[in-house]
Amino acid sequence: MRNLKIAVYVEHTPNNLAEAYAEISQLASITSHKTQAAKVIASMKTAIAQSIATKKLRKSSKFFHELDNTLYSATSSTFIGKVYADFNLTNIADGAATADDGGYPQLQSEYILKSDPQFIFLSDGEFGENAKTVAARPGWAGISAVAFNKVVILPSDIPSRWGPRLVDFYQFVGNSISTN
Amino acid sequence: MIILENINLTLGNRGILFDVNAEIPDTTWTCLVGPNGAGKTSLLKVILGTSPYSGSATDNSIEIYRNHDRNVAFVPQHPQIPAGMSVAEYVMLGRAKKDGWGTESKSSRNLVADTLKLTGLFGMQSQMISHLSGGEMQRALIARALVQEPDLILLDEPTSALDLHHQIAVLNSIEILKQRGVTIISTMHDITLAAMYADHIIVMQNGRILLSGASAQVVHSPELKSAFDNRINVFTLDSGRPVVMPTKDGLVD
Amino acid sequence: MSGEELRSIWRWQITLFAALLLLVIALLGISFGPIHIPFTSILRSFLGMDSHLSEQDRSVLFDIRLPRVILAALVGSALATSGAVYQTVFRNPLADPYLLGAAAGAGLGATIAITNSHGNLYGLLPAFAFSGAILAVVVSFFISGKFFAEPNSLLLSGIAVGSFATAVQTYLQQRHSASLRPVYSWILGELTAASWQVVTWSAIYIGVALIILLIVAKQLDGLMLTDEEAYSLGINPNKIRVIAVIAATLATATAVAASGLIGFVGIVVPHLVRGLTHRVTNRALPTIAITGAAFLVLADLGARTLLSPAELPIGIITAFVGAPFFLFVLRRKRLINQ
Repeated sequence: MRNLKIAVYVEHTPNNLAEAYAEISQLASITSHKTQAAKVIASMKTAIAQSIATKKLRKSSKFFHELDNTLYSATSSTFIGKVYADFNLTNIADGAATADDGGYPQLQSEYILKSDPQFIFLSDGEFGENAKTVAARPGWAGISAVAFNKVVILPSDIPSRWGPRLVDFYQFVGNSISTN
Repeated sequence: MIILENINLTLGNRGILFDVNAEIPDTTWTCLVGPNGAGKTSLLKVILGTSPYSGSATDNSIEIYRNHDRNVAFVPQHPQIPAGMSVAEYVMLGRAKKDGWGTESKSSRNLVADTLKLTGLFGMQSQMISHLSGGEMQRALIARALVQEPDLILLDEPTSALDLHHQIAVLNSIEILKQRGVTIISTMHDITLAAMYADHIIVMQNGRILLSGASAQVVHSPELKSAFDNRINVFTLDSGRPVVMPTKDGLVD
Repeated sequence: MSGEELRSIWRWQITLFAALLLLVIALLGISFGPIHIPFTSILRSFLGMDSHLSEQDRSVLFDIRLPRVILAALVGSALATSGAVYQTVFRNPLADPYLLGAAAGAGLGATIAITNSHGNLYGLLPAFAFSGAILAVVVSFFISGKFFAEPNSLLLSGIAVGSFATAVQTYLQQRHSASLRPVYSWILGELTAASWQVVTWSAIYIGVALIILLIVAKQLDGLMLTDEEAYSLGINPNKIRVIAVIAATLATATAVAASGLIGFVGIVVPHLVRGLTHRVTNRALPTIAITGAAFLVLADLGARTLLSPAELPIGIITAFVGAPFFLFVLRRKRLINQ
């Protein structure tokens, strides 16, 4: 496309919140929507900060973010992992961080049992996974998250989109972990 | 008794056998002779039951083709030689049907040991079959046929790969089989040897049976000479045994 | 005459040795994992003695590790035996269980299950993979037409069917890029889905297939001869080929459905056993089955421990260990044949 003299802007997957903001504003400046972008970023920042402020756990809890039923997960080095960290959640996938440079290791069932997470986030709900199927896995019924009904099915569109709707994901996670 | 009636065999568009009629009595030795391409091996395979023929071929009045109930041993001229198989294992294949699945029976092991001795292969049982000489391979094939304890044994040029000493040894062991009541059908290019051992000779040419009958009778018949374009002479030794010799070109007796 | 003059063709001590090896490796497989369980407690609980295991340890041992070890053993024996049988039937030392399109067919079936837009087919993935494998082999048979008159034409149509299935699979993946990772991880093979339910149906199908193959093992040796020779030995070569391929395909399809595509086992293990014992005979099949089981349990132990607590796809281990071993056996064989 560059050969055709069409300007190309390559957007990289953001690694943290600052990068996500930077990309939004960069895209805005290219497309001459700078003022709107500044507004958007400002409102995102407020909403996210508010979500974190009200829902952040005082005492850290362990969680398992499930990508699929073969137990692939995402570590804290991934963008999605950082969202959880903002709420003072501890990612059990970090124990296997060295296994995958991209931050998406495949965990062993036994390790998840051993870690005993207080929350389980399923991003494979669209593949038919839910609290019931998770509880039916061998040994999983004894995991705290399962025993105390803290198995959360993530909406299928949020965790893979990086834009203004990031706010939705923050609010969803915040609401999922809030005790009331 | 094997009865062949109006056997025709074609492969693709090519006719191989034409109107073959023959009766082969039990417990005799019948030899198929004739030049290369006469259809000897094809007829042998019809009698084995693997070639689809038209006409009727029966063994004790049961149709032969694909009849798996018969106990026929076959010694091919060009066997497939598997790599990595020992002589003992190769000969033991002859017991596959009798032993069924699982490990071989002790009586089979004894029979194979005895047969290896008979064929002069004892002591080589652990060698790879692919490492044998032509003569040893031929004897291994015959040993495998013998341990089948067959009712009928078909041999395709059993002596072609052998020196005279081993030819006699192999032919003698076939002779012993005949005395035990086994029916023998073989192809052989050496008519002298055929006449020496076989009870009956069937002379073939271009897919047809030219003449057949008792060995002595066939050997001395003028049709035999014409089958070989009059290029053979038949002498009779003092013992009464016929000897067939090729004529030297241009030499008239 | 004494039977000692001729030793039996197959020495069962070799099979016994392989079985002991499998037992030791299986014990190792059960003993290692992220959760430490004392070995003595494991032994005690297997011997039915009071083992003082916690509820969770018991669950880890009997619901996670044991089914996984058993599934690895089943899949390993299925792939190794099918490989050995295919090598005999097609007279091709490089034949493997995936030759007739079984792998590509299973891959397509799995991809359909994963990419289905409604998503509710995911649980049926094994059934889809199984059907895909069987279907691919059946289609190969039909295309080759001549059935077994020419094993090579069957081989070629297997390759064609495989390529076609792979093309369709790639197209589906392109259309559903979100499915790339699950399909990819399935292709590399995984035993993570091991549960007693999977073990049960795998054991039934693989068990039936292996029993059939062991029964015809001796007659399979006849396929190394000309068809006329085999026929005269009381072996119906075409019948044996059909039985052998059906049984081997059943075993392969089951293995693929249970654990994805685990490569190399079907080539390495038969060559390893035959190379070390200097025997091509299919009397080696029970030993090949047991060795295949031991090989895959060991490979799975590696898959679980090398990156623990993460998993390493088992297909990577079998290829990584398998390829050099394979070369070693080949070289050894060549030296012997000289």
